[in-house]
Amino acid sequence: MLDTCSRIIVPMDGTDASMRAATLASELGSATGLPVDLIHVHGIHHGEATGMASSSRENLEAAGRDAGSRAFGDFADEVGSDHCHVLWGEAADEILLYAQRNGPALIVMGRGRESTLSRLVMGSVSDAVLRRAEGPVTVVS
Amino acid sequence: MYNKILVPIDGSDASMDALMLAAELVSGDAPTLELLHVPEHAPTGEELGHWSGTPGAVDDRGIEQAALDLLDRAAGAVADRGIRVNSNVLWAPPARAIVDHAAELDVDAIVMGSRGLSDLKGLFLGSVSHRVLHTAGCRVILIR
Repeated sequence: MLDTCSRIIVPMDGTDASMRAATLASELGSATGLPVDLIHVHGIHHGEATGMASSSRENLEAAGRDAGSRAFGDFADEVGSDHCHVLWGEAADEILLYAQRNGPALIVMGRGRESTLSRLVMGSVSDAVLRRAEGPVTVVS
Repeated sequence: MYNKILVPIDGSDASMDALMLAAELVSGDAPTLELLHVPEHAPTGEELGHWSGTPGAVDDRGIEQAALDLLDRAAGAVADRGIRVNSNVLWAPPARAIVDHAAELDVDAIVMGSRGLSDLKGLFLGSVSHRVLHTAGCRVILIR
């Protein structure tokens, strides 16, 4: 599985589950020598975006970068800024597109088990990625 | 991070991928992989042939031996890595067997395929892995 991959991709949303995924990806990256890319998908439905409908593109991009920084946490320093990417759109679509364009890649995702709305949403994203990804996917609880 | 990992082995490609990933992840002073096979039904020749390369008929009496052979082949795939490998066969509902065995052995994580041989091919998350994901007391890492 890993021997067919050229990189490891970790979608991060700031949850503990995505931090656990990043930890696992970091371990795998160290063990295999594969580079680790962190991506944060900033939904266009996010409050800060809709509240900034009249904002400039620069402001929106800055908001996305800030959200990315929060989502990546300390892992940003570990992988380096060249490997941190903020994308805009629907999470599963963007994750899959990124993997397709930058693959072959292993996608490592977190999945919470609590039944809060955000966990359910993240769960549905990992489900969608599991279902639709062309390459290997690892889900960490 | 993970000193002891439980890997359920059912003979599927996904369980083999899980095993190889677990071998990469396990570390520490005494890295240990706990292999577990839960016979859910009499394995078909095709399933066993998947591992042995020689499909063959297996009767009921041979199920346990077939399970042990399956685990032996799995252990062989991660031999010579300095990893201790233990194997067990349990007869119980798969998800419960996996979760209970993980608790009993106090493993740090369960690494398993997201869809085993018993799950429908169309399912993106198998019923066993889904149940394990939501009931295990330890970290669960699913591979697809």
